[in-house]
Amino acid sequence: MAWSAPKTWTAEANLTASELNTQVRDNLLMTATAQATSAPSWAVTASKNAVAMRQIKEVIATPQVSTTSTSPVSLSGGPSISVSHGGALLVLFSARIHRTSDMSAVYAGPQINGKPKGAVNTSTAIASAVTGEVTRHGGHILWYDLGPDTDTIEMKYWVNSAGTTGVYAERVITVLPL
Amino acid sequence: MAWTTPPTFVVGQIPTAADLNALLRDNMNETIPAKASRRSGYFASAGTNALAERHILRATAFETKDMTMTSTSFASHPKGPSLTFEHSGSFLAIYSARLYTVTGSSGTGGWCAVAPASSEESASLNYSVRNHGGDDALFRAQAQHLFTGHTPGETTVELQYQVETGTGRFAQCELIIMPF
Repeated sequence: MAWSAPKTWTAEANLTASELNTQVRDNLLMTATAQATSAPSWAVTASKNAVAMRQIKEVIATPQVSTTSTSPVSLSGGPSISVSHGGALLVLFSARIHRTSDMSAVYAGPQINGKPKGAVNTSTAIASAVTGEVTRHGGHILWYDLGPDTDTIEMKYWVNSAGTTGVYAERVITVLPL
Repeated sequence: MAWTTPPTFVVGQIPTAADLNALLRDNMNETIPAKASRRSGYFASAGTNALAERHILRATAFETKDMTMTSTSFASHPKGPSLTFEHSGSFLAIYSARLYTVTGSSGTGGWCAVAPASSEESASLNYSVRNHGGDDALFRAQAQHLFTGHTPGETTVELQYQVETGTGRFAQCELIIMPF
């Protein structure tokens, strides 16, 4: 099913069943109303003459975890979340984060698993260089030009230099797919 | 008025006025252009084949608020901030505040926290903006929470405050709501 540009009707032209089906039925089925479900979602553009209802999601991992890795790693509980999108994602994330000793900074940030463009990096991560405090830090990333897909967003964790331990708790990822 | 699944017409069928009213008038009235009422809105699902126009809202409470707690639970402040809005069962709260514990100290004193609450969901430390100790620094933090499973309709959300021990100092608090 696809959108058909509404035709211009002329006087005394025959109205056929085929025209009613393509011009009325099929076009109505392309509207956001026809696609709406009871799930929490919003209407976004999906391509030329196409809209989609995208589901907004959130996941929370409350247990405290830690790492000494100097490259991004997964930790117990993630959090991770799978979302369908049309090529763009607005991701909000936060966590309570600190280090255990006066060494270098510690980081956390989300990545899109399996997509180089969605790799985690220090530029968009939340960071802390505070020792022994359980302060929450929050950040956000807008990914775009990804191509339509269903992807898994996962929080990753790392520290700036060896000998540092990063500690994380109450980790939250919220995704608004576009 | 409600959405009707568009029927398939067959050759020789003559649409009746009732057909056109249900198929065209009523269904068209359920689409986004028919429901759009003002700029800067967006449309969220309000159920199967139903949409509702929504708008992002923002409230602030910039003044400094000192709160001394006698128990470790979240409490309201007269200045809020709070927002009242319509939704279809879920809404995203994005919030930030500058905060520290006046009488605490790093590693030994209490923490202080800010989180949103609705009539159907209490504020939680799990997603609160939170600072430990203080060093007399009004540190700003930001967080977000997606409320789901609420009864559709009008809801009020407010920022609430908690201090582990001593006095928490909160300032420049901001609450943004995206209703769905």
